[in-house]
Amino acid sequence: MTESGGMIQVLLVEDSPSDARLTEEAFRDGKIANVLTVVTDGHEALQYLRHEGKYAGAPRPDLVLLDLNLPKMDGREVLRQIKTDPDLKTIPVVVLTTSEADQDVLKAYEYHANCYIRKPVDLARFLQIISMIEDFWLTVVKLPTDTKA
Amino acid sequence: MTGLRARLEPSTVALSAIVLGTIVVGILAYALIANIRTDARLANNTRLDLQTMLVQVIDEETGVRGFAATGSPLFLDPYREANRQFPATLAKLNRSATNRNLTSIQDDLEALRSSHALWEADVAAPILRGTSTAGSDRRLKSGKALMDRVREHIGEAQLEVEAVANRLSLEVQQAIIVSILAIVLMTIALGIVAVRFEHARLREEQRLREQVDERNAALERSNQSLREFAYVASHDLQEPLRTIASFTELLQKRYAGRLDADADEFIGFVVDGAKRMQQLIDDVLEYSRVSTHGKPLVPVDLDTVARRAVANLRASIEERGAEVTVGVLPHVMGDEVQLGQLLQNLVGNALKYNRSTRPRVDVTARREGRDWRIAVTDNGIGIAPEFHERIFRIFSRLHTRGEYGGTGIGLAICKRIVDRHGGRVTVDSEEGKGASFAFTLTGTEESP
Repeated sequence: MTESGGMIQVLLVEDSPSDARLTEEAFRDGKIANVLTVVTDGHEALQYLRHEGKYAGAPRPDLVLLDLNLPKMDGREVLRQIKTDPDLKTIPVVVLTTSEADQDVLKAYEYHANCYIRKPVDLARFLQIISMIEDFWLTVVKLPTDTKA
Repeated sequence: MTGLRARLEPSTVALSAIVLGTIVVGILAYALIANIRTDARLANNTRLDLQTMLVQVIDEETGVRGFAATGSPLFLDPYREANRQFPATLAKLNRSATNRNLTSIQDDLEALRSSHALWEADVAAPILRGTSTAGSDRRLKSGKALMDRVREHIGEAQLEVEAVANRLSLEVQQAIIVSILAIVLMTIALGIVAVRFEHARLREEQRLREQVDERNAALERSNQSLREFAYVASHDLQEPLRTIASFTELLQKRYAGRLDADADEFIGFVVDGAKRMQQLIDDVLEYSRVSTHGKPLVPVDLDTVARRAVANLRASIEERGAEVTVGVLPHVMGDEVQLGQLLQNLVGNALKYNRSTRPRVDVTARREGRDWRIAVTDNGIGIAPEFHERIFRIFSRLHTRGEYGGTGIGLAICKRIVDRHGGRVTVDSEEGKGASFAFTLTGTEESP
């Protein structure tokens, strides 16, 4: 869509291998051709987004799925940094987490998360939600065309 | 308790000793003073008796002299009267003189008695007989000398008795002063010990109060951490359980029919077990949320809350063709969300445990002093009395999952909510005769 290669780029920031794998499974069944990249902590996420170190050649993602409880730098800080960085703040960030604390929900929106989704306990529901995210953010929504790429 | 006794005992002993000492000193002082006063009274009486005797002696002498001078028997009357009384007066004085304070007048009494007797025999008797008028002058002269001696001795005795009386009254005063001093001192000592006793008691009370407060605080901390533990543990259990459930479901979805029949069955059990465990954890979380996520108790319109709870159950009410009525409900002090949950659970149960073709549930309220008693009454299957207590325990179920679903958390949550509101929840039911669950809540001031 927005990328020249036609492949949708999704960055998943998730420290739990099982959750990462489940999300991969869900995206594999997706209708849109996509590339899902997984990073497991906040530092790595920012390095990826800023093309630093080993991520020098990393593509700019069309969507970030962000867990809140992460090692090294937690998701709240990653979110704050993305949304205060002029180069990154237009990338939609979906917070996908097990936390249902009101405080986390409020903080996420204060830091301009594009939406906050609680990971459902049930597998069918989880697959359904990932499919909805894919549908909505990658096909329905019109996002600004990337000028930096 | 033994500590308390050990601390108080010396004070108690001192207190008893002082009280006893005060009583003994009081009794002794009283006896002493009473004794001295009796003696003093006797001394005073003796003075009066001596005075009487002096008058008698003068009467006797005057009478005899008058008679001697005039020969008129008129003068003999005072003589006879005095002479008749004299022995009695003397006897009385002799008795008084046996008192330890008055023995010194015994000699005087003896001396005056003998002089008086001599006067009677040698002076009075001859003159009265009128035997000789010639010698009466001489007799009268020696009689006066005798009577002077009698009066002298009376006077001496009077002086002595007066001295005794004065000494005794001084002694009484001293005894009273000493007694008062002793009692004042005892009272001061008593006061000091009592104050110390009271201080010890207050200190002990203070210590016990602090101990109770400390233990209550520790208990509250322990309860709080237990509640938090239950919440955190259940919450953290969800994570790995989600993984187990998700991947076995994924296995089931992707490999069903591709392994053998046993594998399909086993995977089915794992999926089912994981789902049940998820439900249990959800229930534990909900149960612990009653105390960890409770809101402060504020005035709540129970009517609105009940109508909302019934509206939430509309699907199952319609499905069962049930009739649910809500009477006039009061304003109460409560947590609106929890009271909604409470009523929804109770009305939900009333519909669920009901085999009637036309289930009926009535929500009513009745005043009970300052409190309100809310009852949810149904025409359902009822509960045998022996299970009335058990049903409020967490995960306690009376039926198999096949008969009625659920984990057995609903009534435990109800009880916890009512407990948190400071009320009581009770059930009145018999098997097959419907059930009535009732709970009490505190009304608001402006309650209708």
